[in-house]
Amino acid sequence: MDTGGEPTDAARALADVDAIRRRVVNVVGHALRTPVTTVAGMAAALESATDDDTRSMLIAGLSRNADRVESLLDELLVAAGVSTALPVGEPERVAVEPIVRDTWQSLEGPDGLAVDAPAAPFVRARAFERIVRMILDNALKYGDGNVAVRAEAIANGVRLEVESSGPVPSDEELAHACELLYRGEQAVMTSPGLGIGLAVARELARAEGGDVTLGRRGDNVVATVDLPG
Amino acid sequence: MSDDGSSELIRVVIADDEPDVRMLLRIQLQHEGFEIAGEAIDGHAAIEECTTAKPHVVVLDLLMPRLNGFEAIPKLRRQCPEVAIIAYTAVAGDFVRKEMARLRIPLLLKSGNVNALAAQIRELALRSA
Repeated sequence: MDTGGEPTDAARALADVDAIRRRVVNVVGHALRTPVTTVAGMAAALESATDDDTRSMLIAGLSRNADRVESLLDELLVAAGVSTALPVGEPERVAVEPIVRDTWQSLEGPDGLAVDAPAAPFVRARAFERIVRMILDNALKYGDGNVAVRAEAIANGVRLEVESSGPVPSDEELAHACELLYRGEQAVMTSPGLGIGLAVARELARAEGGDVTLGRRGDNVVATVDLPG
Repeated sequence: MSDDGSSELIRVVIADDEPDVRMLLRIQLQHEGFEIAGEAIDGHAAIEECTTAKPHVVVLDLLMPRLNGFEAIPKLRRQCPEVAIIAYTAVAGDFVRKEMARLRIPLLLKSGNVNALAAQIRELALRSA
């Protein structure tokens, strides 16, 4: 209906969708460009490499970056709610502490990680590993390195809390932190991180029958993961 | 600075938070005949490396944790004014392009082919000779 020159609701909705589409393409392009160009560069460098050490480093690098592209694509699909990208396998009782400590080490987290995790969720192990990785990576990226992990039995399952100190986001940022691509476009273009980690963790947790939320406790940020137990 | 091999080697610091990017650039730039004077994983380390190693050029990633490339540039210009800066990034939208143009810093997109980066390094080193 012509409203005398003002945009209609439909026109606004289309403009919103277009803005989201551009943003997704921009962010996905950004995420994939580095590992793809690294693969291309390493393949070219391999042709002219003459010593065995260099060749070994490049071959290992090719494999790592190819894996990284595959993981990024999987994460983007999971974050977008595409169920075919979810991990396969049967749920099992999963020990929390070894997974948390191994993940922390692989992320090169500082010494001093506190873990108190007697409860074991009943989930697909691969999904749980990815959830833990996303949450710890987020805590490392945005916190000051002081992280404590707790897992306790609750009424309907297991609650995993990852508490970290450091700059605390605003209430609005906390409320939207698990949304896909929440980080503003300028933030994405000026600092690392795409804004998909917590969204991926949440989709993975929901696929297991749980959820992920982000909140504050005093001056700390707490990521809470509720899972079946 | 000439390319006839008899002149001083062009010294480069690589600043990127991705280990594989640093490794690849090290191999590619050494193959091009440059000396890698140092490597840095964030803006703070880039400033330290440039201050101690005094390279001709720093290849500076823009998206790095703790201190990113944008934040490092003014500090580099104050503390190491003789070091030329090349911004080397995966994606450059309007904001990045305008900012680098304003700062008069050459901006190159990351690529598997190092030729453009090598040419830019030589040009900047020649200017400062």
